[in-house]
Amino acid sequence: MKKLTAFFTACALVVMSLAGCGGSPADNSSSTQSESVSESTSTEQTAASISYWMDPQNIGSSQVKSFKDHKAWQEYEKNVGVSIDWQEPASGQSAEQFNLIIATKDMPDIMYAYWSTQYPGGPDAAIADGKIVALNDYIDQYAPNFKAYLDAHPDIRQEITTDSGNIYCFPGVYTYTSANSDVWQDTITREPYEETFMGLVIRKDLLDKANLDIPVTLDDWYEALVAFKDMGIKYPMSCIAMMLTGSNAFATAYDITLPMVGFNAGNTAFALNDKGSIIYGPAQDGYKGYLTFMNKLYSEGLLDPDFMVQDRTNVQSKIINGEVGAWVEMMPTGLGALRSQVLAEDPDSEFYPVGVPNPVLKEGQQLLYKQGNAAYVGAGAAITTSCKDIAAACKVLDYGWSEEGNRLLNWGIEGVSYEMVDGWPKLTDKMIHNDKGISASEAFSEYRNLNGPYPMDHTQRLESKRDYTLKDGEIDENLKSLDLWSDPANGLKRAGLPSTTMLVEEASTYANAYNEISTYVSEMFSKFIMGNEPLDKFESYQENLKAMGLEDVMRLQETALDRYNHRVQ
Amino acid sequence: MNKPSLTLRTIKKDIQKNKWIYLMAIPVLAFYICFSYIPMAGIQIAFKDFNFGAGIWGSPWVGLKHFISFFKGPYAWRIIRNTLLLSFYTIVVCFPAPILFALLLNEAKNKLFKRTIQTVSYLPHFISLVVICGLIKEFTQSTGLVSTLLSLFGVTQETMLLNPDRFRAVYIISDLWQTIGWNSIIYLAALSGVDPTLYDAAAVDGAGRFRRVLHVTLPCIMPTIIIMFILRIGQFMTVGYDKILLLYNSSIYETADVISTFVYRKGVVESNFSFSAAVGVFNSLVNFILVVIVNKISAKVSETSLW
Repeated sequence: MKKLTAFFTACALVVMSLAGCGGSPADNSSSTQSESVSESTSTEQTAASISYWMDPQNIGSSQVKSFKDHKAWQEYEKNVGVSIDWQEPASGQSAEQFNLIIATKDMPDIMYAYWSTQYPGGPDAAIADGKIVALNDYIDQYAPNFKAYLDAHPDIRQEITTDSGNIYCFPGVYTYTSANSDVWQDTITREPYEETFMGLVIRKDLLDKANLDIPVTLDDWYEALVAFKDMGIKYPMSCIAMMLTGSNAFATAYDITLPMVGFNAGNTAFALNDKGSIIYGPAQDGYKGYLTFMNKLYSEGLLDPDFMVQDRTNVQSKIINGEVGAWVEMMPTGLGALRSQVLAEDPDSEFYPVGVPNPVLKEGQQLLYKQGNAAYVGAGAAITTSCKDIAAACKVLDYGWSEEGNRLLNWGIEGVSYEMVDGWPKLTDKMIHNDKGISASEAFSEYRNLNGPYPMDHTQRLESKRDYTLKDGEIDENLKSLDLWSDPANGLKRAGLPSTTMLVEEASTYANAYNEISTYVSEMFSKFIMGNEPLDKFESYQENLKAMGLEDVMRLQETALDRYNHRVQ
Repeated sequence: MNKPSLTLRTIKKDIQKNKWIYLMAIPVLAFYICFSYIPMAGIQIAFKDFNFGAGIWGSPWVGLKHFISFFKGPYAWRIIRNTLLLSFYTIVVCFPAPILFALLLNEAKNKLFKRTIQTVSYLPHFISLVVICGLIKEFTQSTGLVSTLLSLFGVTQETMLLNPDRFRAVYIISDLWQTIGWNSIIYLAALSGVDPTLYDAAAVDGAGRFRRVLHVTLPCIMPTIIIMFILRIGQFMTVGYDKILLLYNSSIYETADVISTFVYRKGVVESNFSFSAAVGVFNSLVNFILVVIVNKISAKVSETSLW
């Protein structure tokens, strides 16, 4: 009998543990929540702790993979006096993890994400659903530096205010010292800036060998790539699909922009045309011209056949092997570094890549669009309703908007990673000639952060892209290509829309139709280029887009844009 | 009146007698209750418009809306077809292969040879799927090992994972390589249970090697084969979605997109949880029905069944 009681006790224990792990999902989350409450209260007695969810990709470093190990963030945490419990999604999983986290009731205190596009229904829905807090009142109380910035830059305030008037995040904003200023400007003075950072690169040495000029039109490009092929270059044009579409290379000649293959956030497929109305690139007639051109490159062996499956390292090793004539480059810390890698293996190599503007259809054509991020890219740090100490969370975020905190994130530690020279921040000699034998920008990346919820300094990007291996008199192709790409000659305005938001009741209609359309578009993109779908099917492709609800999508975007324009005025 | 107390007593007796076995069964039971039965309550979101604020229980009911929009949508037929075909081909190729492999190994008399072959064939099972898929991708690129070798036999050299017509072959052949060794273990175990006197008797009756395999070995391991087959059919609609996710890209959705990858994209990536749950429920229903049917057939034909 005793044994039987023991057995039933065991059963009861199991049942109890089951109740703990299951029950109704609502019960479950409330029980875990109460646990976390008791946890946080117990830690509060020693020091405030704030959990902070952000993708470590935002460090932008090959040296440091976690905020915990990053020098600037370590210093930041110390100066704020609030301990930060970093919660970092696995590489490439941030979109999935975001969706899973917000489906629970136990969220990190701060989440840095593309709230306007990632949350179904946008930021207003996130507030209405009780996921994040409207910050309007807290900013006045707890975030003096952020408030000062918003007062000085009302345009940014509008970008982060929803249609119903809620401020939902501390945004990531690109800023740049104004062009007519002789000295570097401080955090609050710098103006919001739209950054262009992707574009085409071609090997000047091969062009010279073929006796060709820098290609300007699509026909020039075709001619150059054919010449490369004849020279025995294995992949005249190589790239990964994400950067090919992201840079809008070749597409802007047809006055359209493209969705970025494999990147869900952002809406670069949309653009505002010269009449101020919205176009969706992959539905335009011009898209057929683009596909026809790309199909020609592919079928004649001018475009790397692996462009849909390879990653950036594949492309880079092909480049270093001398198998590539032209490619798409992003934020070229690369050009100088690539050249030194090639020279290390073959000191006689003439390898000399240069950045070039996107090609035009006819000579003299003014390109309408260029690649570029909005000053407010759409990513921001929101405070969730799970946060028990909003004041502390505000304090953590606000520090990035103070001069001290902002310099720390953008430039690292003064005297170690940067120093002021004639009023401008410059990398120290310790970074440039570091004892690890890595490039200056890599060494610097241990001290500076790339993206985050604070005003990011474009000067920092330029300084870290500078080619420090150059001898006097040599041209810095890294900076020169950035100049070329961001020049108005390469496009008058950036691809994409301002940060429009959908109303809660529109959101699911929009998302359902748009998701279906973008899946279809990305599938047909490669099929048309690779010839798996003949181009004379393009009209039926356009019909299919309509059947999937493209008109609804466009109508909803138009009204969202109207609301945005109304809000901004 | 007596009957229930009798059953209760029998149970009590049984528990007393086998208490350790019962105790050992508890964690397994707990696992299934925790991770298979309780989550079933979440199925309701397939019939609701799930939103993050209201949660699973608070979201409004919408009936069959998501099922209807799935079947009306452009992808329903394609992903069902892809799932069925991929699963069908996998079963045709990869189910009998380990049996044949085990039979062949069983006939091998050199112990060292046998062990070496076994070890080599198990190896792929222990490599992480991510690594396997990395290898497959690398090998099937236009300049990869497999594409280059095949080009010697007149196959056009191309990136195989960009051609919708090649995906199934890549998937199934690599699956065969991955699973043949590991899956043969259970058959080898069954083979070792065959009474050796049966072979001697057959030999005395003048049966050759092939005859002995056909009339002694196979009938002896038939129950194992059938149970394995039923279990395999139970997963008919659950093709290895993790492998597909790692291998596919938008240009081969035509043949590579299956129900589970579609559910993943709709649910986890696009956060359309209700729609995705509806597709998942449909998938599970088909699976369930298949198991019941196959089990019924098997019970009739071979008197071996799960219940």
